[in-house]
Amino acid sequence: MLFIGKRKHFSQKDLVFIVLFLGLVAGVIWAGSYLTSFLKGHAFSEKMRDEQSSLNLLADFVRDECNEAKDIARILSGSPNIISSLSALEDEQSLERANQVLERYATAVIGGVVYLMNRDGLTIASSNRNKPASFVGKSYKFRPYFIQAMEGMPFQYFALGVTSKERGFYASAPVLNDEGVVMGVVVVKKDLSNVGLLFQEKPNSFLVSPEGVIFLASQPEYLYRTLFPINVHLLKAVEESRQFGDRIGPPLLEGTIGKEERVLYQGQEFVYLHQQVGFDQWQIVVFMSLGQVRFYHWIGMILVGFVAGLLLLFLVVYLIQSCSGALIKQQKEQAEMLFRLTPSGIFTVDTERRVTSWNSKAEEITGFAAAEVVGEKCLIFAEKPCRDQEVCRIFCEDIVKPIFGVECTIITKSGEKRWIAKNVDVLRDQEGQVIGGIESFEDITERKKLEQEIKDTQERYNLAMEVISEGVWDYYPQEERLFLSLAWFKMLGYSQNELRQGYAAWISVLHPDDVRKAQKDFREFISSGKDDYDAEFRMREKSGAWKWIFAKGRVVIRGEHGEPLRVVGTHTDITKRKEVDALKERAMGIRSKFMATVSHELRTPLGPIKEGVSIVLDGLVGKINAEQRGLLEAARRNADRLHRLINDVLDYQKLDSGVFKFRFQLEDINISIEEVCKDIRLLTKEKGLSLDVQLEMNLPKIRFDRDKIIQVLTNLLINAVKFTDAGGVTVCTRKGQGCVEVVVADTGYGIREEDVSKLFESFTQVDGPRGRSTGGSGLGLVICKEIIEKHGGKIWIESEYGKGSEVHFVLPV
Amino acid sequence: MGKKILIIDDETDVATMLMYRLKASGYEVIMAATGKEGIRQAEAERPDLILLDYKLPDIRSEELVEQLKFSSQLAAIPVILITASVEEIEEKALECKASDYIAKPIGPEELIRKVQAQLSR
Repeated sequence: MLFIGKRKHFSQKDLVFIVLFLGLVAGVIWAGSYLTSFLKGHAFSEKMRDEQSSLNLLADFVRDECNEAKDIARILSGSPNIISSLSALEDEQSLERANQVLERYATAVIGGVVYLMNRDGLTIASSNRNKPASFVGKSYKFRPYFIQAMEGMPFQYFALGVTSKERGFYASAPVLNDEGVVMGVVVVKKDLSNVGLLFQEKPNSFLVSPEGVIFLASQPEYLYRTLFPINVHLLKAVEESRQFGDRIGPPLLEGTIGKEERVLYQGQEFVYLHQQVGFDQWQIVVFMSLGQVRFYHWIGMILVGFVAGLLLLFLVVYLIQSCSGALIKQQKEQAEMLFRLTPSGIFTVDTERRVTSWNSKAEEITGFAAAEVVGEKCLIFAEKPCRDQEVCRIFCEDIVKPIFGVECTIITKSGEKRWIAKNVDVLRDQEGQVIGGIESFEDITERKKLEQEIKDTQERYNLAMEVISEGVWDYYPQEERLFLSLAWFKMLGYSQNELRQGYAAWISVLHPDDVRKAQKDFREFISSGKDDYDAEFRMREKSGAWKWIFAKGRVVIRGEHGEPLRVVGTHTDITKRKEVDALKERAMGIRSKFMATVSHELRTPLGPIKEGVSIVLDGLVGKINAEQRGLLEAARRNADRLHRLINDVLDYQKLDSGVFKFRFQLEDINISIEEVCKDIRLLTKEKGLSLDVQLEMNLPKIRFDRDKIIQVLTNLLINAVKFTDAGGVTVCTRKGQGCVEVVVADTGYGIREEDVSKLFESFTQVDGPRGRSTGGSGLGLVICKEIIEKHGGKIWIESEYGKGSEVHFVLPV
Repeated sequence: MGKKILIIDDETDVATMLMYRLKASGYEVIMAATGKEGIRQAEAERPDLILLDYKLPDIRSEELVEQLKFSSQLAAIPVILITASVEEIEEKALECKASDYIAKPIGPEELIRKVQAQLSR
């Protein structure tokens, strides 16, 4: 993603809004539920009122029905025909009249039966005497209405008919004679089927006896069950009375009446409503359903939830809008910032290719300010606008797809030609219509220059590689890849195709005697960690001749752990040099041998010559006179001189050929100096010169070959004595910077400045002041120099002509 | 009577010079120019000391010394090795089992000193 668009926090404004809005939602929910419960209460009381009034109506109806039967019974009990029929001891005539009366009244009681019982409880007359289920002759003295009426009290109650098995309402009245004695009982049994219909119309309505037995109900299965659980004794008594048949069913409700008159029936809650019928605690019970009220309640709650949900949805939509609005703003800001900060020049154009925006980097690169360019055609800085398509496609073609990395030249405001690289794309609106283009470009002039330089360098390099006679190799140890230059093949007389490129090519041309060592050396170098490699070996030319090759290489790239990744080097043909060297070496060998032989052969006869002269001089073979002595001494002196000369040449030759062996030991140079001075003192005494020895004490011990350094010191001191006629010789030592310095100074003739440098050349002798030769090989100082330099030291002479010389040498500590 | 010294050296001039010096110091000197003659002389004369040149024409000096050491009578005779150069003189002496060595040119003082030293042992 170009823009970082995540907003992690709401703004302050949004937060306030969210809080207010949530408050509003809470308010809506509270108000809604309050209103719902208010409406629920209202609906409940409405329903209650309705139910209560219908209950009252039902009760009135039942009461009226019962009262009618009661009234008829009371009226009949006073009827003379009834009374006389009982008084006449049941003669046919009076019974007939009674039956007629009863029949007449029975028509008033629709579906009812009116009958007359004598004092024994036996039915003597009935309105249904002619029907199969006639009561006449049946005794109902166990019935409470009889028992009560016989006591002189009218009575009424609901019961299941013993004969008809139909439910009925029984109203009884006692029949009194003139004396007020109960003669019998007149009973009106009212059929309750029409009342039952009313109950069937009303759901969950019941007629309940004082004992709690359901007598009439909306559903037949409810009949003859108790409403609530009742006492076992009471249940038994009721069953024995046969008022409701032989069996009483199980209770309808399991519990009793709960809070707010609520009962639970078949898992549903109902309101328990009841109304007294008006006698003997009989009552009508209705279970009022709360379903409707609940329905209203739920509708209310759903409405509230819906409204609250709508509000929340609105809030969410608002917040998303608010956030995305902020995001768009933020992205816009970021885009603008990018436009300003990007290291590329950026501009946009409309469909007419007029510049619509122009960033500061674009100003910087082109030299044109935004104010000059915006509104102008973008061709303003193109070098060849719209003609040279290769150079400047962007301005000339309709852009249909993004173009990347086009390189072209532009002319800046100051007229300078510069190279740019650019990327171009079209701008589209939301419908995808092209509304312009955008170009981003970078100044690549410097890079172009560098590229050109690299190209030039590469060309020069290639040229050099062609011209160079040395074979160049390029080795990659990780892959064991070896590249050999064209010159390498040329050097051996091959064309590049004749020999396969690579490591194997090198191996294949190596001399059989060198192949193992050359490879081993090279491998060891690779793993050694050293930077530079050199080796010598022979390689075969195409012609079969052997070439001596000097290989040189250097690690140019190392890996993380210092392992070489690339090694580059040369193979140089040194065959000629080798030949010359071998020749030189042979020549040198011959010369050395010659010199050694000559010197030895010269020296050998000198021994007997010197010794013979000495023996005569020493008087071992007889006395000699003064003249003889003089001549013999001259002979001995010259023999000595010749001996020295030969020794010098021998030493020089040995040094030159490297035969001279050095034995370095850690020693105090002062001791050697003192030893030499002991012998020199004889010479100085002979010549009447002084010998001053100034040695610095506690000099550090240094490594040197005692014999060789003594030779040097002797040589220097003898020279000093030789070239000094008056004054003396001084030897001193001192400690220098990391070295010990020895100075041999004299007060002799000194040396001319121009001669000083010649002194260390072989066979040079400097003329003395009187042109006299002091005799010597001229090799003494050369040998000294060689010896000192072999010690890693330095020797030099400081001299003032006519006043004396100082020979200095230093030896490293 | 002076001690007897045998000089074995093919360069008779050198040997003669040595003889003069040694005789001057009171020693009896006999000379041999070859190795073989040297051995013969040694067996015949039983010298007290032998001066032996390192480089002989017929026999190598270490072999010569070996032969001397092989004979029980001659084994005890000290040998001073004479060499032409100072190079590796010690190694040479050790090689020949010589008692001492002298480098040419031989100084008279050094010769007498070393001879005396060997004879006084």
